[in-house]
Amino acid sequence: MSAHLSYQILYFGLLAERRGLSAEWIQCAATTPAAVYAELLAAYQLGLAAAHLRVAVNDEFVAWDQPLQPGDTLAFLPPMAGG
Amino acid sequence: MPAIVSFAISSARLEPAVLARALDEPGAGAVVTFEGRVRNHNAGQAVARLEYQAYPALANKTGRAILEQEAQRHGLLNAHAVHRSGELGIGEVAVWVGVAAAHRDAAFNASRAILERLKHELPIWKKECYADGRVEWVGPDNRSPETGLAHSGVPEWPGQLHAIYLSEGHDFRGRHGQQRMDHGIIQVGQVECVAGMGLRGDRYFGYQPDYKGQVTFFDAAVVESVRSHFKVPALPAAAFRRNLLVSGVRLGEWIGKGFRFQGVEFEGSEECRPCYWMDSAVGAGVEEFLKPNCGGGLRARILSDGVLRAGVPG
Repeated sequence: MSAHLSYQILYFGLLAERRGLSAEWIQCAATTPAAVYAELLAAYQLGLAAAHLRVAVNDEFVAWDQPLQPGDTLAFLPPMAGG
Repeated sequence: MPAIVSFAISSARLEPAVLARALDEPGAGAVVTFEGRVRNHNAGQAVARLEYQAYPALANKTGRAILEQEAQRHGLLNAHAVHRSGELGIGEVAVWVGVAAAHRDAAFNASRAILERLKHELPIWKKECYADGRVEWVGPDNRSPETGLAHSGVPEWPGQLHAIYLSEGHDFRGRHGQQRMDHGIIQVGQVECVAGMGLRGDRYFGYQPDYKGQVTFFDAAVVESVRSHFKVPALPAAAFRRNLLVSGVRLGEWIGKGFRFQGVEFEGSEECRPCYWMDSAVGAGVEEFLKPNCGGGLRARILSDGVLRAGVPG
């Protein structure tokens, strides 16, 4: 059993609406954004596939397999729609 | 000399005349400004107002980077942009871009390039509030807010793909009354889906024209319940000889329906009914156990080419 790590998750747009929250702290064993998102998808009816999202860690765009540090802030970003 | 650039997300009303003062520059022979305004209709619906939600820390960095890159690319003297957040009424300015350059070509081209990039790369999301009271998140350029792709009418599977199994030969098909064959199953990290054919490397690849079982989906939760019900905790998921081990999707609901999974389009064709071979392959009673709720899995046709990867969410 691996130790559980804490991350802050930020939600925006349609994801915030589906989750019913704009931010939360979670505890999980995942160590990459891809694995964290997989846990969120399993737990909630988010309905947005990772293939169409971008992910940011600590306010920077990162790759889905970027190793995470405990306490990192993750944001899963739906397709952007400015202008 | 590097261009002077600035970018901001603003929750306050934008005043173009005030913003344009930042463009005054003696060397500027061309100044182009653009205002994106809230329109009272979109895609045939009457719009009452818009709401923008931004991720400010990342939007500020991203917006500034876009302006710096385009200013350098087009040789601008300066480049400024502001995007609104919060609630906006009809006619309000949602995004403002202003650039100054020595000559007009650079100014026209750069302002357009900056605007297009802001629309697609800024972490900001738009909600339309319609005259009839409905509200809806909208995607870029009226595309799907879930995928960013043109609305195809094909729903997206929210599930996960845990494992991909291929077998190059048939163990059971056509072998009634004989011993099973024993073609190995290989597990792969990714697989190529070919429309109308199947999974490259699998026994059903190109098996028959328009074959119903070009690919089979199997629910990881069913593997878990067989393991616990039959007390075989070490039973490999590959023993069921289905191709794609997934979770988070009710397979039985997709018979006769199209869906998209990791960008690949499929059409569910029928339940992958368990047969008596299941009892010899997995254990006595498993065939009956799998019968309810499409427990044997879903057979599907592949409608578009693509690559599936295991271990990544949907």
